[in-house]
Amino acid sequence: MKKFWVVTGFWFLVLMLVLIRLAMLQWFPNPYHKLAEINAIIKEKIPAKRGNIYDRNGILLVSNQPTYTVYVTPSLIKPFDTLLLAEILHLNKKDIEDKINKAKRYSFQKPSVFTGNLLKEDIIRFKEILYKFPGFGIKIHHIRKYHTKHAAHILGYLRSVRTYDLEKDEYYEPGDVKGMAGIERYYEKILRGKKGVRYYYRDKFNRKTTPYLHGKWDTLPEKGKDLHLTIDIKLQSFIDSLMSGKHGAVVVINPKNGEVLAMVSAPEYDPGMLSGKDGRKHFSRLLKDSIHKPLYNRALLGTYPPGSPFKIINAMVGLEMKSIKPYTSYVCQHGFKYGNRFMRCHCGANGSVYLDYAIPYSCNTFFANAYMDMINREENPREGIQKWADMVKKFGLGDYLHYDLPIGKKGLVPDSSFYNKYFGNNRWKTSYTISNGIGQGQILVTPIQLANMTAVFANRGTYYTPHFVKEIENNQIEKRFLEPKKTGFKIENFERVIKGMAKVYTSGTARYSQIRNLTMAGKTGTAENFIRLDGKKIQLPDHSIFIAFAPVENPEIVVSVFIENGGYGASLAAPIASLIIDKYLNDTISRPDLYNKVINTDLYPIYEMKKQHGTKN
Amino acid sequence: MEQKIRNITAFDWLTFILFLSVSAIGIGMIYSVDFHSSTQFAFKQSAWLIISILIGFSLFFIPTRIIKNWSSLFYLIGILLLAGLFVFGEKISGSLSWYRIGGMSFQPSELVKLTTTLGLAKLLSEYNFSLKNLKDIIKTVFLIGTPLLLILLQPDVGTVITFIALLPVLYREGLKTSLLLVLFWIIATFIITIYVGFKNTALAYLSFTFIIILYIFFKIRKQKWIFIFLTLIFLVTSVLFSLFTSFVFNHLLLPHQQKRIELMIGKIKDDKGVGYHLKQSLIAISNGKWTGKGWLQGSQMRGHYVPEQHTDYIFTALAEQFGWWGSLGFLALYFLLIWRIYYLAERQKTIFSRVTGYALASFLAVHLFINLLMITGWFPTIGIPIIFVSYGGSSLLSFTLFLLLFLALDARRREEY
Repeated sequence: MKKFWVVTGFWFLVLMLVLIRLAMLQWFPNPYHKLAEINAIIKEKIPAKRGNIYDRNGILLVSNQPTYTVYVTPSLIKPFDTLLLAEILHLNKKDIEDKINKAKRYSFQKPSVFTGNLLKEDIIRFKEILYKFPGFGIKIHHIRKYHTKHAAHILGYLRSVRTYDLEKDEYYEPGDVKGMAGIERYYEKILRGKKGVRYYYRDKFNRKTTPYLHGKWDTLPEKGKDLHLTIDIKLQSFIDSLMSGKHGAVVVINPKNGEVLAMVSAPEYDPGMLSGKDGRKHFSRLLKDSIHKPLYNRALLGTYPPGSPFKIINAMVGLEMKSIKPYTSYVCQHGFKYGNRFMRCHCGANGSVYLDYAIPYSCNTFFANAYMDMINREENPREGIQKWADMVKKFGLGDYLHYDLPIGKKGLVPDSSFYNKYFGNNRWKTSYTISNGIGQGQILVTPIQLANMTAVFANRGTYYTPHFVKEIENNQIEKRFLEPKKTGFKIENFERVIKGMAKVYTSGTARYSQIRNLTMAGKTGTAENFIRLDGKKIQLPDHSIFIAFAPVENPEIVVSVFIENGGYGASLAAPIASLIIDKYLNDTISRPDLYNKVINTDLYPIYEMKKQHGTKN
Repeated sequence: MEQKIRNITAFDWLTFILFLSVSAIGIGMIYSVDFHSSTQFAFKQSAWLIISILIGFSLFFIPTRIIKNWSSLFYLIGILLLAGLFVFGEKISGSLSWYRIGGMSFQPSELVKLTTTLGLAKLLSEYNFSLKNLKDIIKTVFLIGTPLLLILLQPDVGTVITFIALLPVLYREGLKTSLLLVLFWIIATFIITIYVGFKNTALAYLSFTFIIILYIFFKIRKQKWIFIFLTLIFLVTSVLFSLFTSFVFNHLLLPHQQKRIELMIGKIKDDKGVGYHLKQSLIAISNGKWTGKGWLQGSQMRGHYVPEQHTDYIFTALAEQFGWWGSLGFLALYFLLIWRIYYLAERQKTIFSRVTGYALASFLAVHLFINLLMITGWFPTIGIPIIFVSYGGSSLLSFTLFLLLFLALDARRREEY
């Protein structure tokens, strides 16, 4: 029996060895556990619907529309009726071969896109006979459906994700779309929702089989949150109609809370054009339009010299610095002389000019003098300019406003370091920068900054960061939009300037744009611009600028209007501002004469001429 | 009549029930692997089992004497079946190991495990036979070597390796331990040669013998020269065997077999080719963890990742579904079966029956353990199934007959003298 025990004992030891080996694999964590997961499960993400977008009054602007994509997996294809497929998907025979070859080049086992962007009516017949085409499958996507033809610059657009999007954010998968501009981009993470996940067992051919653990881990997609914009789409479309035939921008803000009521960058385009089958074609057509540049958002990206509206800021800064007093007067004799140069003035005073006169009649002489006095209070112009620039910047100029759209420009408020670079260190005098006094020169603002600056006056010293979203599906918007920003300027100084601004309407430059029973405060602006033609400087019609708020006592609306080559501020921009205010506050057009004048103004010939001579302005 | 009743009562039901349990587990596992595809392996395996049992029980009607006397004939039939392969055989994945009859394949080398055992049993039970006798040892080597050579020529190295199951038998029947050491030396030389090549092996043996000779020269007083002479013989035979191994490995083995052996001894690493099998097997086993994924729930199994899971890798299905505890239970059951057969073999009165029992138990153990070490990566992937568990008609039939033959012998052990 000894040999019996030797033999069986030997096998028992081997058995122990096997059990230890199994324990090593099964008891303790080892890399094979992770590999098992990778091996076994296919994780399939189910796209979520994007959130809808509504206007401030709950009018639906953007929703979703299903679109269908046909996929093909080359390894599963069996001979099929090519003609039938061609007919049903509106392709020709060669297309089909090409597409299948392309799919084969990509992968035999993985599905690739056969044809996409199909609507329900295109797919419905194919769906019925899908069984005749093994290897083909249908997947549903959602594209945007637009219920408005306006506000394209605010809404933005979507496009398919690129490779670098996939690398940057795990959320995306090939074939997904992503907000590329406007609200769609800024609120991408809120709008896109949460994808659902389905797990399947994977077989060795990389095909999904039955649901993993009977769908225990699966989650349903969560629709993105709906957004309610601050935009009043009716006002937006009204402004669109006013802006037809013009280039420029209009920004309308509610000063009480910083909500942007309308923002138009003319010319606009139909937001629906960039969605769906022909989206890409339309996009490149818009992109190539170098005369009108419809994709260029002039309201946010256009930087212009503010012109005369800037004078109210200089007035405020002067009053605040006490370099001018309410009773300060300068003598205006059709202009201002500095060195051997002369700045003309059209205020028509020919005598002493006080602040109360200088604002409504836009007296260049007054503000040039006031600016000189302001800067020269300090011993050297560097400190003077710096102090002035710091105060100007409190109006939200010279820096990003940090509104909730993804694009913007800083604009420019020149300070001493700017001029040190511009002219060379200490090689400049206050008189070199005299244009700042009247809002020309190096100062640049965007139309939305212009509107925001006006809101500071309307509120007598505070402003709310302008924003475009009022509500995120029962959630509050970002807190920073709800907190007022204070400039720290004195209220009585504001009142003094506003008195002048009110006079702009009653007796000043915009007196022809008054609205009955409505107190308004405004300021016209006119910015000169030139083109060079054969080396000669040719003056073009001026840019027409206007800012306004109303009612004066308790402002509810702030408007900034900028019309490229629109002439005097009073000629085009002021009537547009009045019409907008009237429409918003009274919901009427009480000045049809102004309305007709605006509507019938077509500046396109000027723009086309400009383009021919190749200027940038 | 009385005789028959005695036979039935003497029949070892415990072994038979253990055998049935193990086979049933096998069918269950094959079913679970099979479950998500439309092949009918589990059904076929069940059919084979029933047929095998029916044929096996018919052996009870043949007197022991006849079985013993005809053993030489069975052995001869086995040899002929192997030889016939070179004429009528079907080449499947590079090996000429199969007969194809109608729609079915039959692997004679499985049956040859039984016939060779019978031949060996007959030889060992001959009058005056002794494994201490060189002539008898040579006879034995020829008896075992002939079928092995034929199998090696197919070539089917895996099956050849399973014949180490006859070593415990020879050990039990009186083979010297020193001869087993010689065998160990042969295996060691084989592995070293494959690992480092012939030249390096020869160099290693040269330096090894040099050290030994130095030792003998200075430490041993008496018969110094005889020892040195023996050491030199050891050197020459080792080098010759190494040369032989190198020749067999490089010229007789097929590339995929070479690769498997190299993989096993850790000479190369491979994830895509041969190593893929092993990797998937390890993944599936690991995935079982302590208690397993549950019946029909293994993710690896459902994905059909493990290649040939119903045959050589059937244990991975069990390990994934029932974890370490399930594996332990199964192995305990199987080990009990093996142990019981050794135990029964020990109580035989005739050498013939004992050899049969020992061979059977050893074959079961060798298959089981080599298979397990193979699928867990501690033995080269050589394609050995677990008897009674892995899918495959030839193996199931051969070993069911083997088992029932032994049980028939056992049931009538009292008639023997």
